[in-house]
Amino acid sequence: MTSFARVVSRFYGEYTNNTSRKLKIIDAYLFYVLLTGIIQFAYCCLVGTFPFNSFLSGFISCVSSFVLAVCLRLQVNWQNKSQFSKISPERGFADFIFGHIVLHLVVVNFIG
Amino acid sequence: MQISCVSFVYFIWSFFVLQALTDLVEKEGTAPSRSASEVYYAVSTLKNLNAGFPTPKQSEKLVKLLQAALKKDDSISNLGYCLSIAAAMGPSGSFAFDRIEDAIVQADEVDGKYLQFEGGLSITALVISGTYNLATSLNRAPPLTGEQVVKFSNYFLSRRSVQTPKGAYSLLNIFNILTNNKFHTPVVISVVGGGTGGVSVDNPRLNVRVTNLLGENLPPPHQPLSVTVESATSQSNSVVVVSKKKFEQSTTDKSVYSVGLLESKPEPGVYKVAVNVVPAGASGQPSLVGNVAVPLTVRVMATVVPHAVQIGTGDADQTTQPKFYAVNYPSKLEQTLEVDSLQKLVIRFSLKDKSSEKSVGVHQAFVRLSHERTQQELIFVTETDSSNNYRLDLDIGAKANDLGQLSGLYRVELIIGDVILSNSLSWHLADVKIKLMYDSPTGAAGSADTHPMYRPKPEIKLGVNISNFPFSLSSIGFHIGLGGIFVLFGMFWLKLNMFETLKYLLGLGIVTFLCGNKMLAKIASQRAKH
Repeated sequence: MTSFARVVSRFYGEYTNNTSRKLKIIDAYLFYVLLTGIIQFAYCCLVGTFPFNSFLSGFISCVSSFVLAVCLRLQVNWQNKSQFSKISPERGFADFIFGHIVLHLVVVNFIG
Repeated sequence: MQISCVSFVYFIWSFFVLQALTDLVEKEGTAPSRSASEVYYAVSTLKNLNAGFPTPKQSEKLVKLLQAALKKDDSISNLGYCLSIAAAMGPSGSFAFDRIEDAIVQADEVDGKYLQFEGGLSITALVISGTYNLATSLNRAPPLTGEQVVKFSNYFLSRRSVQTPKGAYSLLNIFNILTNNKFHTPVVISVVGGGTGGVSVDNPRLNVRVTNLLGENLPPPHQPLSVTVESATSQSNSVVVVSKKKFEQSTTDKSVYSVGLLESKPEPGVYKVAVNVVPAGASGQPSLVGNVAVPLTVRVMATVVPHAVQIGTGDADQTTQPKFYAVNYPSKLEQTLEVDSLQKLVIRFSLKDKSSEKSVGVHQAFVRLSHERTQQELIFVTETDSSNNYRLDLDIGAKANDLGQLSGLYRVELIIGDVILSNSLSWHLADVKIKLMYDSPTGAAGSADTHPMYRPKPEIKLGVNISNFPFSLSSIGFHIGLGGIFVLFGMFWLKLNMFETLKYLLGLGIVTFLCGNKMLAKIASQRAKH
């Protein structure tokens, strides 16, 4: 148990010290999206799926936003430079915006 | 008056001693025999009192007595005393000569360097002095190899700091015997200046002193001496840099010899130098021991100069390249650098050997930050790569606690040290103004930590930082366009249909794409510039 606590505290220390601020902001966004998805899912389980298309579009929005943000995070992470050498952080961000515009066009169309 | 007194004492002494000796001889074999040490002192006393001692009859009895004593107890101390007694008995002591080997094989070897007997200095000195005294009295070479003599001598030399009178007596006695016997003369080769000798560009000669165990110049039968470097081998990569090179005798001190080691420009490092000392003349005596391939540890020192030193600051999140300033040793950077807790302080340098211009690696390369006011110091270890380039990346925010949350002016010093450096240095290369997020009000980390309850809690505050916002047409257009698209989506949800939405989206999208493209290209080119 103590070793587990040590692992956690080490992990936390490494994360706070060695992760850049931009990545931390993306992580915060990811956490927010995850939380939103969980709340929607819990509502659906407890109350019901009545406007089913609304639930579906909201939940899809969460999942897809999460996926897009993870992609962005991978592309701007300095340590993955070898894999994404052709893709600058700005290009990654532009793709992220474009993905969101298409995604939300579909989501809003579906929302009813 | 004095003389009569002394005679009286002698009389009393001889009486008691004779009595004791008679007792010993008479009770041979029956009573618990006396210890060998008692016999030794009795015999020594009688010998000193009476030049005629021992008579053939007494010798015969003594031999019997000693052999009986050895049969009963052949411990190493008994053997030592027997050898000494036999030495005092003249030719009749030859019975003990064969026991020398029995004694020597009992010696313990330590570290492959020392030979000693159980019981320490006094016993070892007793056995070895008995051996040489007996050998001298019988005029037969003792059955000891040169290597054994060297190891015993090493042991005696290692006990130089002995504290008791008995130890001092044993030590000086054995040194005298080992120096003045005609069978073996151990040679001591020491580096002048003590410790491990260092040779450098300023001081390229290695000086050694060749002496006997008492630190005196070797006596004339061995002179003149030929002192040579058999080989000088690097300890790190076993490269031989010097071989078969003769030392020159010093003109001022006849026991000192010197040789130049730097002609072949060896790499700085620790070298093992094997030295031979042999008598040069044809009449040289073969009694020198410990004179061939004597290993000495010698350091070839380097003088280093910090080279290509750069200090700079950059963003801690590594998105931009740090901005560097070059500093030349030994001057200091003129401007004061400023760094805050979102930035890092970066230092790059390499070290060059002054004579060979090659880059060298050292054991210790540190950067010390010391606060101007409180003198609080923090020392950081630099990292090095395979080609000896040193670097230090100091994330100021992450080190804020180590700095005691203390903002202010810090001295940046470079500390370089190594055993092979003749100029280990501490160089004040720049001043840097560190700005931390939560400045310690007390200015001392210790007091702030011991009263945590008095510290204001860091406020939780959320805000938008727009200080970096580029107010250009493209960026404003992009943000308005993006906002417009989301508003359009809202309208689509509330009242528009798909076709109308797509129509408007096309227009907004083109504007946003063009503006966004321009803005991001600008950001990317700015980043590339750093």
